Amino acid sequence: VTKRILVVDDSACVRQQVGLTLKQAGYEVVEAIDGADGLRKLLGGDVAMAICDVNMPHLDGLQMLEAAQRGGSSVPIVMLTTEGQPAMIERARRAGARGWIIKPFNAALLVAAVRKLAG
Amino acid sequence: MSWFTSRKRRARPDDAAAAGSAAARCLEAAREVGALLTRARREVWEQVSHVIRLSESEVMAAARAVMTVAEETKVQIEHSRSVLLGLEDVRKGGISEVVREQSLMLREHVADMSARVRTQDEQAHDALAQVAAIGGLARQIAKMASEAQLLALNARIESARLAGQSQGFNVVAVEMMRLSNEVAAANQRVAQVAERLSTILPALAHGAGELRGRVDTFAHQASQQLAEMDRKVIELHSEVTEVVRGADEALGAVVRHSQEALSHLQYQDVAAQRLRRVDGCLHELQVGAAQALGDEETARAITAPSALAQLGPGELHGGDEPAPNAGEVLLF
Repeated sequence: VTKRILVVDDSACVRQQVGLTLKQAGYEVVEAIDGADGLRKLLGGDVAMAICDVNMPHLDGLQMLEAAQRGGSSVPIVMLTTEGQPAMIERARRAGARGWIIKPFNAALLVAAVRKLAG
Repeated sequence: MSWFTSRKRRARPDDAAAAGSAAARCLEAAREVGALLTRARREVWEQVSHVIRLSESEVMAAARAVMTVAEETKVQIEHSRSVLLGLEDVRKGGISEVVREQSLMLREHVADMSARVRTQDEQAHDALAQVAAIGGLARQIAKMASEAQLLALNARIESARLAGQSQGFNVVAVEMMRLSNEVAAANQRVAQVAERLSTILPALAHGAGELRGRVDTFAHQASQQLAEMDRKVIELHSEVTEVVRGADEALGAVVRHSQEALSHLQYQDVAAQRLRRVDGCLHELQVGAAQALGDEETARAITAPSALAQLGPGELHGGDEPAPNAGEVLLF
């Protein structure tokens, strides 16, 4: 069964690049345009994993992560962002994030992380 | 007390005016700096907008083009690969088996022909021996016929000497003579046939031997040709394997290069986010300058940066710990 990966990013360009990389690796991709959209699809859809930007309008990535934890979601979430501040990474880790990837991402490493967390 | 401090003079009205003028120039300079900052921010935002436009249209188009090329290449290579693997299957289950089966059949056929030729050769020699035996028997029969003729002649002489008294004996003598002549004639015909056979059969035996030699030569050549075919099939297998391996490597390279190309396209988005941060820094500088000048009204009027660029305390410099590098993956 093809696994579905949720890609949450306000940049359509990034969504497309991540999506194509994952499709090429054999995954099905669901896109969300911001944190609010991402949270709705995460809690309502059948996804194996989520890849989430941090800086987004309406609901940022860390807020979405915390809301997902409060909503009882056990879907692994990896943050994909240009941010690299250790304090921010630590905040994400405490909120239940399973990983942190610094943009621009390396396709092979991204796929390896997805395979490890989503199977 | 030094000379300088001992000679301190009183402030004059001209000095106050000069100080006021200098302060006014400072204020003017600060305002010019503020105006420069405003222009710089406007320039930054124009660049941000430009980068975002690139990200949302041209970069996406470029990404689609890259992926289209990658997908088409993938399809072509997969097609070539399936064709080559089809050849490989033919080699495994088709050509090779057919060659092997034909080879076995041909070898059996040649062996059968060789055995038949050998049998015919033996039969020819056997027939030659039989003909020789028939010749011997014909000579014996001729001798017996000659003796019977002599006996019949003596019987007729004896019959003439006893003329009138042995008519029946004379009849027997005549019949014996006639029979003896017929046997001699038949024997002569047998001898002629045996002679003819004795000339034909060696030629037949020679032909059979020659045929056997040709069959053996053909069998040898066929065996060599089959061995050559086997060698060619093995070479073909090796070449097909090499081409399939090359196709796999090419496919891997196309996928790898297309992913690298996509990775490079991400820098547009990264640059946009960095420019937003620069604008955040300029905003802080602009507000700070206005506040330092006591111009709270200007400070409030300065346009706030994008919400995405607002940074928390300490986030700009990242604290004491080193920040991870681009592309790095941290799994918790």
